[in-house]
Amino acid sequence: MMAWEVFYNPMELGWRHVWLLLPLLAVCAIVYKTVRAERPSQIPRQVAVLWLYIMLGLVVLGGAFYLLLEYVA
Amino acid sequence: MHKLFIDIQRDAGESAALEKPRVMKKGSGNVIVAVVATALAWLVPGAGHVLLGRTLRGMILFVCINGLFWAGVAVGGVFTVDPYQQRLWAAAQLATGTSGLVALRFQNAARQKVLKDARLDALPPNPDNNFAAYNSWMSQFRQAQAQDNLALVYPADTVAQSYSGVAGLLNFMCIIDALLLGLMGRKGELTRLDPLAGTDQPRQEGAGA
Repeated sequence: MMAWEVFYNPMELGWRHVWLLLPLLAVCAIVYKTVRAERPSQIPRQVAVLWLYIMLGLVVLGGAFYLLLEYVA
Repeated sequence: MHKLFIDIQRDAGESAALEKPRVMKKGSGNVIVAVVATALAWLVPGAGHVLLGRTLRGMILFVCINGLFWAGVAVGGVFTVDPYQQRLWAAAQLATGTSGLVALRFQNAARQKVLKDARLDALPPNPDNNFAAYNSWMSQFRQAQAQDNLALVYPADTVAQSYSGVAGLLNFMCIIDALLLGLMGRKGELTRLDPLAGTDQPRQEGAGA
């Protein structure tokens, strides 16, 4: 199998694809803080904090929508 | 005592310089640098920041944006970048520059092969004029895609297009950052030891530690 064939056919993903959100959020946090941080030495800490903030925010938002659909709507 | 006095004076000068490190230098040179940095930032993610003296940031951006984009293509295959079916996603994906263009080139080659195998026209009929013909064309095209194991279906399509599209949108943010940094005439990183590093001003002999 040639190396480029990895990029040719789609992968089969199961229900666990939800976990692929984590690296996506990590890259968003890294790129955003790489652009915004005043000094490069501040990047790792700010990235970790932002990543946690985004994940917690999504969990809270997901929980709120779940409760809304389950008990209010 | 005299040396101590000179040191205090120098420290005071450094502190004053640190107070306003983002001095803008007016001139047409900034516009040229900004335009070149913007073009480079689009062509190769992170290259605009490298040009502006922010090498470490440029390398991080290069690895993250290209890595995210090609991870998306690895999940979704060659039809991840598809300007015919997913125009908005394709526009976002092409903001990654060279990576997006290479993926588009491979998608076009794969599309031609699928069309040839299915003996279809290059483009579907206009759905406003003949919806049944359009539906038939799309159905045959998807069938041919599936036969070649190239059909992009849920959940791979969601993951692939999110990854590669978000990579493009993140690079768009970097392009704007490179443009603004270039226009402001900011070069290099700000460091405590070199208060003039954030400006275009030449560093004076003996200034800083």
